[in-house]
Amino acid sequence: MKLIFPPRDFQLGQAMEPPIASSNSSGHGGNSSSGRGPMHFGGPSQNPSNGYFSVVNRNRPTALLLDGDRIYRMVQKGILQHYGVDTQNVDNGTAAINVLMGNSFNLIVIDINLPDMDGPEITRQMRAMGVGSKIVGTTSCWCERDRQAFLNAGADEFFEKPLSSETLLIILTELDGGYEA
Amino acid sequence: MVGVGESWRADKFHLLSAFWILPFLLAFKNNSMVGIELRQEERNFVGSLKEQGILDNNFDHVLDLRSTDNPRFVVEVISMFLNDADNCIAELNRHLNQPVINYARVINYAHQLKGSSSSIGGRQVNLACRELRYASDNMDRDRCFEAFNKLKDEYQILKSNINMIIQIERTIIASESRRRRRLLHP
Repeated sequence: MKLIFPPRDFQLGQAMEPPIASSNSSGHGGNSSSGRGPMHFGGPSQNPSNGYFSVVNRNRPTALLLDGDRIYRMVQKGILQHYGVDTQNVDNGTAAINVLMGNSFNLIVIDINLPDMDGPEITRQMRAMGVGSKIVGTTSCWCERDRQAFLNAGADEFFEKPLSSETLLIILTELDGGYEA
Repeated sequence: MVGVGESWRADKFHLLSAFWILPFLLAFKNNSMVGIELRQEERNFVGSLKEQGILDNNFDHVLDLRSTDNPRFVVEVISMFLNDADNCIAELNRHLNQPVINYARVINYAHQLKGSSSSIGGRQVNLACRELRYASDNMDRDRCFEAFNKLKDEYQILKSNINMIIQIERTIIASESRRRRRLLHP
């Protein structure tokens, strides 16, 4: 599925398709959410002639990307920014905590492996600080143990990297604060 | 244009001769036409690599992020990847050849290389890293060596091919830079 990059001055609007099921990018079945409550979101709009998805967001969301791998940070930040997400990168948990002292983000993406602490530990610290952002845990190699560790620490979702177009669309549509079908 | 692999070795002469022709194309042809032709060659080349399973669709994201504001994005990302991957491979080699293997360190480097290779669409390297990760989780020394040898082979194939993509990108960037200068100073 090719990414659709909206023009930088695209008009914000409302997705009109009915909700679609959440699935993670690794292809492992089932809903990877923590079950905090029903997710209400509008689906992406699909062009019937070419099958490409486009996404529009009511507001310009912000994201903090926390990953020790600079290649992943560079590419994922570029993709998020093209989807209209103001994205900031950090490469370790301590730096992330410092950034969160003075900033808030709609979305925080945290890798399982960080130089100074693991992803679930930083997630736990963020929740203890009162961070209410949507937190997505990631790994480069799917493992059920890691998924449970993230969800038990307070993450909302867990996916294998890189985040697929379908996964990003679901996450970003949810950030739009969608609506019930 | 086909990628480096068993099928590519037979066409090595034709590929090298194509790159020797490029400077002459730039000298005698309209620069914008060369840029368009090179982009098409690049697309064809990436397509062949995807058919061979060397790259997957995640590489398209890297190409899509190239822009007039940042025409060197592809060159920068691939160069950074190769630098980091070379270091990862060297560290994995060092740790796996210790009398007592530190499997936690091996897992960390395999995790890092898997993440970065998947970000740029390095499919076979990604899969090889997964095997190494599983072998390390089980602390299976023999399986680790087997997985690491496979990883080194796949990485060399990926490296050779994406170095060609860097060369194409640099040629396109130089061509477009010359075209812009001609527009500014006719």
